[in-house]
Amino acid sequence: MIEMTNITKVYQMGEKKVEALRGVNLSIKEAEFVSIMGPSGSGKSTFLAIMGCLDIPTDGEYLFDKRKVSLLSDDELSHLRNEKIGFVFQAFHLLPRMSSLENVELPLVYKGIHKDERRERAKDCLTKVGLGDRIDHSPSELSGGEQQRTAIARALVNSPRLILADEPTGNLDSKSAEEIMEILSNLNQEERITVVVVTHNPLVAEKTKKVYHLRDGRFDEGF
Amino acid sequence: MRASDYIYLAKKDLRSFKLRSSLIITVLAIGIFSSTLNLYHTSKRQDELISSFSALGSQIISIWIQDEGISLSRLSFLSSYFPTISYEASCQKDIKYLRRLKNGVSIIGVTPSYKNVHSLSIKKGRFILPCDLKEKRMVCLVSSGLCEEFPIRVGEKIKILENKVRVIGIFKEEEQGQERIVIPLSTYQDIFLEEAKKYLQVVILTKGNPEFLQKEIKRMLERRFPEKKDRFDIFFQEGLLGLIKEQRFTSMLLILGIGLATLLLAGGGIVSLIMLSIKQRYKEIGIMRAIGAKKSDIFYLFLIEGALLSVVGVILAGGLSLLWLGLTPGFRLDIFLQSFLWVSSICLPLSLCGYYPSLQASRVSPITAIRVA
Ligand SMILES: Nc1ncnc2c1ncn2[C@@H]1O[C@H](COP(=O)(O)OP(=O)(O)OP(=O)(O)O)[C@@H](O)[C@H]1O
Ligand SMILES: [Mg+2]
Repeated sequence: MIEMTNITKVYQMGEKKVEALRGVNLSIKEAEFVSIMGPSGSGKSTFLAIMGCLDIPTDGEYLFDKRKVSLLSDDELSHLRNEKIGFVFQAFHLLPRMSSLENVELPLVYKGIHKDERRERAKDCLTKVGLGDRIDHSPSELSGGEQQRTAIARALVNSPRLILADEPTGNLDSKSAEEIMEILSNLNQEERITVVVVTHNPLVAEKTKKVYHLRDGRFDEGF
Repeated sequence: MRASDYIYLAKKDLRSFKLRSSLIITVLAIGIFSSTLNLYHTSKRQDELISSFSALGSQIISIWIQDEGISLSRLSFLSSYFPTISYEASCQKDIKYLRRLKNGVSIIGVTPSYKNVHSLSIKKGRFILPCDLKEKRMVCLVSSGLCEEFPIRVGEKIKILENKVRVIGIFKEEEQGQERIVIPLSTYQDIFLEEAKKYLQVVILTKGNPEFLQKEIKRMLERRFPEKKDRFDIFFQEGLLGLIKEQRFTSMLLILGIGLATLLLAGGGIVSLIMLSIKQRYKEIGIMRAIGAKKSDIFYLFLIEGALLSVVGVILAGGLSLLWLGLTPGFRLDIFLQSFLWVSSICLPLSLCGYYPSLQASRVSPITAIRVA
């Protein structure tokens, strides 16, 4: 599903160049459950952003479903993110002025789905993450774990093939963290969604089936 | 993304920034409100002025024609449009009566309708008749002032240059000092060959909106004499048209000024509002982009937010000014609507003020979603 060869990312900081990724190779198959670990600044987020088509690599080739991502237009990338990829962020990133139902609906709004259908599908997803009774709450009225579950519902609402999570448990206590990993694991097993989790936490990485270690913009060999 | 959803999202945003949104709307509404009031009052005053002219009755329009080619007979078509019409020409000449000389007296060649057009009152004798004109008789009427200076009586003769002319009547001068002698126009053209070539004046007494009349007469003449467009001038009773025009000009200036000020104020407000909310919502835009919003989705969302503000402002101002003016005595709905539409159309570009900031918003990169905490 994902084929990345020799991906590099260089940030230009005035005169200085920051090499965040220095030739990364990775291939992820359908329905894999993968975690990426590494110290701070090793390029995990950068890598995830490229994988999620939020950013483009400086060099290297990225095939998503056998399509060359570098050849896609901005609108096509938006479309790809909307339909194929679900994001879960460390800080939840729900829109504060919308209820959890409206937050979950939002990807469907961009897809142009009609309101009634949108409502139904968003409700289903919230029920799936155990928040069927919280649909009218605004994010500030939810606990951290509940916010992250809402974010997962939002990531799920368009039935994506891939879920990318950047430190999804970073802002949560261990119990909520476990719940979140449970949900992701279930999605992977039951719905065969590919899940990639970036984390510092070995306990989180343990739950996944494959762990990659990133150091200084490269994967450690031998894993 | 569906059109209705743009509005749904935009409304949601505006509602959550209540204070800022209502501030912009208020500024906009006050601007439109005051401009509408202003325009309404000036338009109404003008309308009343014009209708008071019409109520006042007839007015004098004179057309000066400075072309030999446009003769009396070629102008006679005007008589079918304006029944009270006189054709005249004048010059200053020396006259002699019983060996007494008077320099520079106004001699006017006229048609019989001169009497009606200028509301002349005859003190003695009779006015010029069609037969005087037809036979180019050497007859004249003198004004009362002249009559007192020289004791001229009806039936006597005076000399204009070397021509002996018989006095057939005496008329009253409208104002003192307007001493003059009138003779048949045909006679005038005979005696003063050179002067008659210079110009001919058509004087019309009629009712109606002066501006409209002027246009209409101009149109008629230009159609008849297309090659001589610059050979005639149309004048109105002193000051009348100028007054109206001047008023219209100053009111236009006022409206433009106020409109521009409103535009700047509200436009600046909208731009800064959206700019501010883009700064604040940098992260949100990134999130929206990450979960599938296209550049254009973001652009239109912000543009519509700006447009909604101006639409609400316009509607609010419309309602407010209707309420306000509706209570004034002699309220005129037609003038109100006209004024309001004018002002609103000046404010229309406001809805486009969001263009630049919206463009900025659409340029926020989706990577922002992962980079901000
Ligand atoms: N926009 C940018 N401009 C310049 N340098 C950047 C930019 N974004 C990231 N970097 C640099 O790239 C490197 C990798 O950053 P990245 O955020 O991918 O690390 P990370 O592994 O996610 O770290 P953390 O665990 O702290 O989130 C860092 O050295 C960072 O300073
Ligand atoms: Mg990171």
